[in-house]
Amino acid sequence: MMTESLFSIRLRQEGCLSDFALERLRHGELDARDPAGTHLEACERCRTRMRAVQEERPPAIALRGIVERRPGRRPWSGRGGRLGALLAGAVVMASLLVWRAAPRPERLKGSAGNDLPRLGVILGRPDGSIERIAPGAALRPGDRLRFEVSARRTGFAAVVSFDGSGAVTPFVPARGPALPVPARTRTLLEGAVELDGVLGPERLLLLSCTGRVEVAALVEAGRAALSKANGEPGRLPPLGLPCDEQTFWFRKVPR
Amino acid sequence: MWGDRNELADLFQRYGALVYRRARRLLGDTHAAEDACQEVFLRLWRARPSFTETSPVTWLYRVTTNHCLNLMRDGRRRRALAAARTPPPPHQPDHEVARLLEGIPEPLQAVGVYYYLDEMTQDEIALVLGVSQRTVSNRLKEFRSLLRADDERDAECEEA
Repeated sequence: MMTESLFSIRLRQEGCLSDFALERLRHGELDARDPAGTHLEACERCRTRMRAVQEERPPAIALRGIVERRPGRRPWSGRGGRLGALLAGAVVMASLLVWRAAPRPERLKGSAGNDLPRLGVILGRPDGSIERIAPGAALRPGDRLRFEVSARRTGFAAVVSFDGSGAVTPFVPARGPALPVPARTRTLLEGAVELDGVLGPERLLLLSCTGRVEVAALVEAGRAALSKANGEPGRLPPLGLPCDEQTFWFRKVPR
Repeated sequence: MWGDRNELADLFQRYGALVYRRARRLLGDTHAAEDACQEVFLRLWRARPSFTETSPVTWLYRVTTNHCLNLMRDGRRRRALAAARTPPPPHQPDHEVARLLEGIPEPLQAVGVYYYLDEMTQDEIALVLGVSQRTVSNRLKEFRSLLRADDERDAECEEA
């Protein structure tokens, strides 16, 4: 019976160490004079297991949820991801902990200014440096971005990019419904993007909607609006959705 | 205990394999284990201002195990909801651990996993869970009796 195989039988040789004990010994949490250390010294089987544990390497992973692949662009994360991406995620987290007052993003369309949500953009460079950027900043391919939204009203937010090639790309979320944003709270949106090699001015549009909306619908409306603007992000008309819009421009320059 | 990204990288180098191996063992899937690994290190990073645990291995064992057990529970809930709305999908065998823990109350699941799957001693389990050895022993008894009852039910079904 299945239960027998997993939960009734303990396979380890009596007295041999658990993986937990091996890990604690390995990391110096147990002294070699501890009974576990003494056992390890004497037991060839456990020493072999300890060697196997010591030879294991951490997985090559990225921090998805912080780091997310931008569709059709060079991946920052992924199954074959890299520790660098983990670090980048950590770096972004670190930046949030030393948050400094930064210039407010540009406010464009919408009603009374105070009611508009604000978009903050956090830049993580490949060298590990982190900063919160102001509109107009010069960024480079390979730079990574995360986004923060402050809103007075509860709603749903998404960030969509309009770049120099005429591409409309959902940045966060990459798919699915826009992300919930509570009122009067600075919310770091889940997900990040790595900038691709398309150079020139790029427009980020924060869409803050009162109702739940699929990001695919926002992108579709964005494409229609961009088409009306002859593919020029600078002439983008309002998307015509029940969402507040806020723009954040940056320039992408060669690395 | 640590304060910058380099230190977090060191921690990942030191403990990443532990967390990954643990998650993979519980979840039975490398991709899910990678996700779990990320989540655990994010929690570690977020916990750092108040992190006072003198044994990171103990903390990581506890957090990884709880996270994986939660994932299994969530998976079961999702499947139950989907099953209620749609015709049953073709049979897909679940990971064995998840299936066996079905119906077992939460506090007992962790004890069962630590004892039988990880083959930890009762003292070690008490340390990880922050409970007395007596509590561990009691929970184990309860865990066994629930499994036994499950087995008996299964046997009755097979006979029927």
